[in-house]
Amino acid sequence: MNKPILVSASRVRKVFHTGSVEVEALRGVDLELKEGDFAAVVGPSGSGKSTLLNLIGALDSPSSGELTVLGRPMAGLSKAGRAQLRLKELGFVFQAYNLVPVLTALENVEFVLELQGRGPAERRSMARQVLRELGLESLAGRRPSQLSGGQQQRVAVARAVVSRPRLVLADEPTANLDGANAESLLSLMRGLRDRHGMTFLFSTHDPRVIRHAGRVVTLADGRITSDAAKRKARSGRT
Amino acid sequence: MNFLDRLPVTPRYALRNLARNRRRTLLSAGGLALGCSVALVAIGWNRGKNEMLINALAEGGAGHLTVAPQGWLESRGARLRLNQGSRVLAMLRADPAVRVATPENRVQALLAMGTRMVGVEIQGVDPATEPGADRLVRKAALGRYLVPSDRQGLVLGRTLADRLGVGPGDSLVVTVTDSTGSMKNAMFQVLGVVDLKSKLDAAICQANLKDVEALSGLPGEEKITVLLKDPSRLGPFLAGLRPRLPRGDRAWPWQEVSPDIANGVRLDTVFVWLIDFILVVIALLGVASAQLTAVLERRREFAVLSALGMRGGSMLKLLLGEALALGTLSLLVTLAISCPALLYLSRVGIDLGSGMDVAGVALVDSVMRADFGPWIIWESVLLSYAATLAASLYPAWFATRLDPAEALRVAQ
Repeated sequence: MNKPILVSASRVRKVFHTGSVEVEALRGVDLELKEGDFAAVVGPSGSGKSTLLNLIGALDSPSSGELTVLGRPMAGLSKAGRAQLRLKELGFVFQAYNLVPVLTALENVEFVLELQGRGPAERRSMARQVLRELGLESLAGRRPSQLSGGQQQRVAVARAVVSRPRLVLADEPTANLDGANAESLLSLMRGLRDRHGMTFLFSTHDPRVIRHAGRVVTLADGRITSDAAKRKARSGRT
Repeated sequence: MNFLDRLPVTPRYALRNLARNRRRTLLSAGGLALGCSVALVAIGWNRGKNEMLINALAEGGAGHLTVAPQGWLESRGARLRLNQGSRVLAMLRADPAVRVATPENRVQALLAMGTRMVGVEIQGVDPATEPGADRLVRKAALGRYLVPSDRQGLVLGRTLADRLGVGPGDSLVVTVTDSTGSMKNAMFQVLGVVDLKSKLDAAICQANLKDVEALSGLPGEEKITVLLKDPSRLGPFLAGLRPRLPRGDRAWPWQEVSPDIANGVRLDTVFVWLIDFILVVIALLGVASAQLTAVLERRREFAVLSALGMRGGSMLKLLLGEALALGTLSLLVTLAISCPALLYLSRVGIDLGSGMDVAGVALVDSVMRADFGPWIIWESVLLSYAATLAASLYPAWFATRLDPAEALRVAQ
């Protein structure tokens, strides 16, 4: 069965200007991401991984080429349109967790739902449900400073998936985690993919993530040098 | 569930941000509160001074309003008379809004005691009502004030009495030119001496209205001075009075009768507001700088919020919510500083010394006091919130303009 294409990039370039210096971060990237993919973009530092994620995440616009995310061409999307797309249909997980320090775990998760305009009862119930699903219910009232790195990243994942986005983008999500926490987080995300059909795209150079990924896209110097779907993924889906 | 838990997440977030950098929050709120407090004390002091000045003017014989013949305001002619002075006086005295209405006329005269002579303007007054309208003459330092049965008696200011070398019980020769141009002489007795210890002591010379009528040969009243029970109702009272006055008689508020004083009050008020504006702007620039630093420190946080889909409007709401919380803290500190200061200045005041006059108006009470009233609450609210919101506008706008991708890249 053909799965719907969520992300389609064709000859995507991204050039940064620093004074008179031009840096070409992406040099004609072609990529398709299908629903349910659990894919990792790997490559050395400066290869363009984060730039590609930022473009797919509607945080930035390509300098040239065509990029369509969840059926919307990025070129024609306004700033407000991009914000709306991020709010309603994308989830983000960052390397440094980036939870709001003055809010509790529950409030961090609830905040996204409040921004979406959901009512108090609905958002409280949805936030509690996702924390329960990720085994964080007992930590709901704690602030980030009262949580370990692994717990914080799980809260960040809860925040990213609470509104059931179709696509979750994770930038080096395990970079600050030890082995056990990284494994646990990845298993958790795979579970979410399997249960809810969410699509995950990671940027990473962590071999543990690569091991879990169903597909590995390698970037070097702004170009895709390999794109391999693994035959033996840990779950039946790739 | 505490109070905070009942709020949506955004205001909780804004309120808790106050505690994030307590020192900066306290310094910002304290700096702003200090600026607002100084501004409020200046406003309170100016209001007190103006009120005292207006009271001193009104109760120093000028009244809250003056009823006089048409043309009197321009010429101040002593020979003008009200068309129906007695009727207007009776009407005013019967009005429940009027505290006192007292008639007056004047005549230029030469007072002589032996070889000493002084030129003066004798004020003809109603001894029964004049002390209620003119507190300067209420208390004679020597002798006594006029009573209605007194005829050909005088109350003089201390300087005038000293120049003539007279005191209570002494007789004087009063010489005037009457309405027909003929010279008239009469003997008057000094009944009392008023000592205000100001330059007004050289001008006070009062006699019974009937005596001045007889001297000048002009019967009737030149003007009626009116004091109201509630001076703040002056405008509506005047509006109601004017149509009831006989043709040819007019009524003017003290601002028109004493335009120099009114302009001085207006000028002082504008000056105080200008100084207050500068003070508050200095304080808010300090707060704006602190707020902008806070926004710059939280660049990454705003980038993440933006990445999560927070739009400019929501971010603006969050930051203005933080400003409102800071404004509330600043308001509490402002009230804590300005209320005791103004209460002290309104109760105890500052003694300016005897004989003090402000803008030519003799102050009967030498202690100047600030105004203390409910206005402090709403002006504190206005100043604190307006200043914090103004101080937060640029940092908030700056935060909404952050490019999330760029901010995340810089933070990494």
